[in-house]
Amino acid sequence: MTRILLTILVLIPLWTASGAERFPPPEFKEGHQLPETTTPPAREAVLAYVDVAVLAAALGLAAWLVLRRRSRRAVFVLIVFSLLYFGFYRRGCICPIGSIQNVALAVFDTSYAIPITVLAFFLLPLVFALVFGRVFCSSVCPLGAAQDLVLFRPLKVPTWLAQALGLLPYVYLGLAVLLAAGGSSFIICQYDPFVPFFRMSGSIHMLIMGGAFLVLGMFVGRAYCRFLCPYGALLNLASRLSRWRVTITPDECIKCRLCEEACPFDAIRKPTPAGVFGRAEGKALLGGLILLLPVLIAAAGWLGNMSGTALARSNTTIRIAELVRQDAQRTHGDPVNEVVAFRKTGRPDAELFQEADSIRRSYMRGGWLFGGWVGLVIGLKLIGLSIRRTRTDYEAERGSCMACARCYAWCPQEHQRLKPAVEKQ
Amino acid sequence: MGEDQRKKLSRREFLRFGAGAGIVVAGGAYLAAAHSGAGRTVWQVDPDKCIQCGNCKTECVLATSAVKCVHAFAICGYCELCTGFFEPQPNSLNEGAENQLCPTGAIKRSFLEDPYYEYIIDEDLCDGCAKCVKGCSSFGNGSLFLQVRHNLCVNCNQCSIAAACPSRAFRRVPADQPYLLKHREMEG
Amino acid sequence: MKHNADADNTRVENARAWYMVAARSAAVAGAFCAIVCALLAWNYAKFRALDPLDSPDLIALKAELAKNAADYDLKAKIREIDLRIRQQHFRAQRFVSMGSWLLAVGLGVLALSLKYASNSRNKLPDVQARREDDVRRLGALSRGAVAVLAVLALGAGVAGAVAFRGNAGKPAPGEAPAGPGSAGQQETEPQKQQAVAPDSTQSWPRFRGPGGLGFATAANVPTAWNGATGDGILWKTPVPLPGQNSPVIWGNRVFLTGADKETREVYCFDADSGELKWKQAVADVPGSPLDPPEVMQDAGYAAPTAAIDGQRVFAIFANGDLGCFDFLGRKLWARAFGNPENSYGHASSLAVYKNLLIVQFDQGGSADDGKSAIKAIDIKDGTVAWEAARPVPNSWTTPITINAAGRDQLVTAANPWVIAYNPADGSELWRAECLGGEVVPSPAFGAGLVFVCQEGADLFAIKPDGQGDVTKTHIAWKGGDGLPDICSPLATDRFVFMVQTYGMVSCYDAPTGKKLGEKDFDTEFNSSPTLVGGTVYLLDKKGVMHMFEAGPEFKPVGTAELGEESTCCPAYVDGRIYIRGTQNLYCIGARK
Repeated sequence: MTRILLTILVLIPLWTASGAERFPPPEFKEGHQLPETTTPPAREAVLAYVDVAVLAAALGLAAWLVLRRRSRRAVFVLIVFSLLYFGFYRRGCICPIGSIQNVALAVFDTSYAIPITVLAFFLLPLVFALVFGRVFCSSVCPLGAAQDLVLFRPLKVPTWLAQALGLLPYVYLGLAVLLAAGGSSFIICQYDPFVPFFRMSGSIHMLIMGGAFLVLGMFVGRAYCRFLCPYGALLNLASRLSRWRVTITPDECIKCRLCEEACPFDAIRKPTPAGVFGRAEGKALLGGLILLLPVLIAAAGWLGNMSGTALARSNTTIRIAELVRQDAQRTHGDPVNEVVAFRKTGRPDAELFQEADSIRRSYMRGGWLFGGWVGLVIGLKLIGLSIRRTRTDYEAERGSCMACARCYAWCPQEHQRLKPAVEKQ
Repeated sequence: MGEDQRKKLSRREFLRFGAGAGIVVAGGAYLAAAHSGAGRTVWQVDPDKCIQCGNCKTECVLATSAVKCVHAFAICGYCELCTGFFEPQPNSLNEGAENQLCPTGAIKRSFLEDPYYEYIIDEDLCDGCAKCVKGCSSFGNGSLFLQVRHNLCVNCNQCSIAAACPSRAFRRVPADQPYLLKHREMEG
Repeated sequence: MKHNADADNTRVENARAWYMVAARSAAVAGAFCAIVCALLAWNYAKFRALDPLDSPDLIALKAELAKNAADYDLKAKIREIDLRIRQQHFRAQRFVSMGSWLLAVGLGVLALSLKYASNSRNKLPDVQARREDDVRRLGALSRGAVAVLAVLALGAGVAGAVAFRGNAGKPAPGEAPAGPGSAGQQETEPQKQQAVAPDSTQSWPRFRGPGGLGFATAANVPTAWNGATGDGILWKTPVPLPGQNSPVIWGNRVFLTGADKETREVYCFDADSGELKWKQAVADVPGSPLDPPEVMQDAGYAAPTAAIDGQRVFAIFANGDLGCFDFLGRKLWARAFGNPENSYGHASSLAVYKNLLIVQFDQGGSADDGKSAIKAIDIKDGTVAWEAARPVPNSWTTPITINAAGRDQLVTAANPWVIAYNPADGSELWRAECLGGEVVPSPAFGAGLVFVCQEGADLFAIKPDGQGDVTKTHIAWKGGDGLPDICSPLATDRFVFMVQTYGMVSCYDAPTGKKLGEKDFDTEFNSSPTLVGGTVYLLDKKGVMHMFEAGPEFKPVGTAELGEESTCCPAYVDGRIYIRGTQNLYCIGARK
């Protein structure tokens, strides 16, 4: 019976002259209603604008709390809110850190138009950093919030190590922009250690890396923020130009030295001791480093160009072209999925190889820029480390201060400011 | 510090601030004008490009993939021997576990009238492995196909399935029209 | 004062109490998180690392069930295991989901209580104990560290760039360089093949040669050989599985197919050495029928001849499985049409027209069954480009592709309709109702006329410039003598030859239909004649090739024995003939 059914039903007549369905539409006797394919809608468009509004409000509130109210407790509450809203509710996406890649892609790929909300996510924290300092980092960024919350026994990272590692955010920034602009991958999103926790799922490697960062974060304050975050590199630069900034003391600094170890992120700078550099030595070193800078940029740029081919292999077109090439040597078995899919498109191989080649060459050009950028950063860092800034007070270094408001409680002037309120009670 | 010095610093700082602000504002304006699009985009699978490789199940960042099989009933032939429901050489044409192709048993088969059977997918059970899609596309009408379900998808900035898709079937679509459904070809 | 001191004491006591609370909750939360983590890790290792849905036990059991189809206990066991596996899978999923929430809450409590505890324990800063920094040393150290990291980073970058270069994006040797001039070229290997066989004298791409007309344009085709002594035989190779299909050639490759009830294979032999270069099974085709087709001994499971398009070889078998391989033997695609309802067994060979593979799939006991169709398959991926239903029952003819009356035509013959299609889109050009019975001989084309014949009908000459039903208008002539039941006719500019199974060969005048002569060869013929130059080559069932001048006198040119029985149509290329015997494939000719 089955065989007859199989034979008959499997060979239902095909009346159409064009390549339509093999089995014709059924004609139901009792007028059966075909069920609809459900289409659950995506998140409401207006909610994206709500997110931008919440971001702006949180940034404004953070600025006020850090610079005006100067209350660590209030900042802490905002941190918890940001973690819950931007972290767990929005699942960490879209975040300003990742938006760098969207901007890079939008600039170099004409087929991608960046949504206004994503652009807003990119610009708002930058604008606020430009005016108020790194208030985004302090209490709005969910990654920063997570790290800030787990920190409970901060160890001091040796200065030389912190300075050296401080290069990494810039390198990461350059690499992320290069790979995103070339349409390869969004590495910031791929290697974000905290987003698996926000999503509450992820591959086992991501979860282990995230866990490691959390454990590290208990002892090393904001390791990701200080030594990896590419957006932090931009905020660092913007914050240095800021109009208003975090001051440890609400009034005048009395150089009591009590706040020296207040900052778990090592952002507090001491007043310059007298007579540090011999002028000759300082000038010679500085001169040498300034001359070294263009050499460094050129050399690193050339290395970047050389590495363009390797970097380009992250691009999907190039990956497929490689697989198609390898398939020519296949002696048995089936072709891999990419090759099957490519053959299905009917495009000639040569066209694919041409496209891959032009992408590779554009990566080599991009490699020049990336390498040059890295060289520039290294050179400027070395120069910066040879310039002595005259300071008379204990200050929070504007580029690296995370505006977390922890240091206020260490300043006697701050206690002085708060005292009348206490005494009134 | 003297008042004058403070004022001087403040002026220099103000100039630097102005320069920085200028860059940011100009850059933002350029990006907004030249490169920004109207609305948000979400990710979707183009069923015509899909080769049913099975990556949708394994590459999604979520524990259970947001990509599920959907059924375009208008295209379905309602066959008794559904090649999307049954394994290639089914022992017999019933819903026994030994005959079913779907590893999670997500396709429900019900007899309608002779000789038509209806096949409905239980999305809570579907994990997006595309075995049924492959069977239906190879020998049936292709009415089963994969789609990203937007009540589940978290809309990552870069969809990790999109990056791994061998046929580059994923693309960004406007959030207000987030599905690329199959429709019956009109006979002409 | 005392009042204040008391208040202070209470505050301190309270603070201490709260600290203890915080510390204890931190400890509890910490333990809780550790336990949840451990449980999640255990769950991952047991259920998620190896997806239970891919259970090897289940696969093994299902394989066993395929062999003992009626074993009810086995079925019950499979169902039980399947249910258990699925329950496990979803339970593990729910476990993870709940565990993640518990962990999140636990971590939150842990973080907050640790924070409170450590804040309560803040010590006053001890300024005196700190050392003064040596600023110069710090500066130098920092610069050094930056320099070291810079060197390391750049070094790592260089190492990575070298290690991950891949093939540096340069084209593989032999490949067309990616430049403006290389557009439109395909893969290298088949390109090499194509270079070897650019014209039809080096290839025999389908049943009865290019177009299916039975014409060979090859030069220096041998006229004498002896299979028993080995004279003139270049090589002879056994063919693994039998089949009625004939050899097809492209350049230095010869393709055959063979099948038995369970297995269907495509073979590739080296044309110069006879070595079996590869054999590939057409298997695991989705939709392939469970049961083998019912075929007659005469037809077998691999009757249709394969076809080549220059880069790919296509093969179809009696159970409707169609496979496509490239010349290196790599499977490109395969599809199944299901067991055709065919009383002898599917025998229509394949034909290639431009980028389409033509499959004539006639089946059914009567035209009213409406099961027959002709399909055009896209050679790239096996999808159906067009198909047309045919108002005929099962037939065993192969379509020919001709250019007549200013258009490309795909001519098919069956009972009762002879139909010509536009091969590009499957639209009908003309049809003529003339044949009857079981139509096996394929059409022929010569002198501007299409010839079809069938024992039980007649020999018809049809003018191919008609439109629609031309039964009454375009049949030029018909003849009734010497009609074949198996062998296809051969038509030249002047003559039409028909070969009967029991040995009679008739010659008609092609333009007028006058019977010019006949000859009884007194042997059995299953193979169709081929015109090579001016000579007709006709192979009989005993493997003896009869060669005679194409004309009504049947002037003999010679005979040559293969030493083995054969029912196939030989393939003719420059200087060579390839004949498939019942056991072996022979190459007749000289070393090139």
